[in-house]
Amino acid sequence: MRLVKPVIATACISTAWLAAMVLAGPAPSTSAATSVPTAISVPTAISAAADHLTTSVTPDPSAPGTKTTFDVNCGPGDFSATLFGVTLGTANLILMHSAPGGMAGEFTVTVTLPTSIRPGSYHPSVDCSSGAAGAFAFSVNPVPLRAPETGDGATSTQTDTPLVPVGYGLAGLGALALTAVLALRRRTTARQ
Amino acid sequence: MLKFIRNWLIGAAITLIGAGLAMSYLGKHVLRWQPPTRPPAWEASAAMSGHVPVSTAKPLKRAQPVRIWIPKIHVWARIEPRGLRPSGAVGVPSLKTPFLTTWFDRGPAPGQRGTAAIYGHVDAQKVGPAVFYRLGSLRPDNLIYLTLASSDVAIFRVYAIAMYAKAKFPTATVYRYTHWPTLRLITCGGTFDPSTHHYLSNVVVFASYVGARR
Repeated sequence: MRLVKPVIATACISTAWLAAMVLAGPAPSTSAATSVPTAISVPTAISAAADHLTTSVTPDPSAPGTKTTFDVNCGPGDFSATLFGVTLGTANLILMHSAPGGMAGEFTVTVTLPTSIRPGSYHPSVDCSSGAAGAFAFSVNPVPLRAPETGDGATSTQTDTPLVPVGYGLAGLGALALTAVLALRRRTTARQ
Repeated sequence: MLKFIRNWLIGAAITLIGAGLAMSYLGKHVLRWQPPTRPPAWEASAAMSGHVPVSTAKPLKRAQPVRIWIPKIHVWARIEPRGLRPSGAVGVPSLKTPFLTTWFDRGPAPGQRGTAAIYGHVDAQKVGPAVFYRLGSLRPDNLIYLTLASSDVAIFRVYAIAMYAKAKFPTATVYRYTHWPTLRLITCGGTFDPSTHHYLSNVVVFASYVGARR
């Protein structure tokens, strides 16, 4: 009985703590707005940026050497936006232009990713002229760097055609026939 | 008369021996198979231009390809997924399974936007001609059918075929992202180098998605 009370008390405290954790939700993360120098392993398609900017990357996933388009909606009051390309291995500050046919505050830029970019997830930052900041999120898939080896030259080198056994067979048959005829002639000559 | 027959038989036997030896010699010095077909250079122009024919069909969701059927060159083969090797080269089927093809699973799937790539051997000592031996015979407008794990059959139409030296393999041209689903079939070809035991070139077929059926 002495033991039961502390056990019940501990169980109640644990349950209350767990319930509080669940109701509070996950801890806020600052990783989305942080520039990372190299690839990290959190794959997401479209980011929700720190200042609630709407961003998108096409294609996602992209690949080294691929023309990749970054779109951001800063809001109607903004007149320019800047992409920070240093995390991608491109120019540090890339000025984005107004999206053709888009609404005011929508900016776009197309960047050819370096062929040396490492596969993984990337979060390049974007700043709007109003001071709002955010980040894109997209991933880079690898592409084969070398030509594939798909063949061992059998059709370009193999010479043992079916003619070989057929030829040996014919030659053997001829030799056999010749031996037989010669033996027959010798016997006939000996009789005479 | 008997003498005539005997001499005729001796002559026939000697002819037989000569013919047999000649056949054996030829058999040992003539290639058993035709070397793989080289695609004509002009068929590569559409690939170089970067223009991809599109259709009104809807691109597919990602699903692993499981079978490839190319009626023109009588290919009906299984497909297995492969990634990249540590060397940066793509994983290809083993020479022990010369009729297997592989799909580069780190890239798009056939029918998805982008460029899906399928690899197969051109030949193997075990069997001679392998699954993609006749790839160089494909021509624009030939059809390629890919059965996906989702039971869809993605249909592609060839629009270019090219042969590239391995030493200058144009990775950007071959694997370039396309806003429309495209397919590349890749194998070896060209001159075989006996010192390295490798072909010096790759044959690449460029095909564009035209639709799907169940």
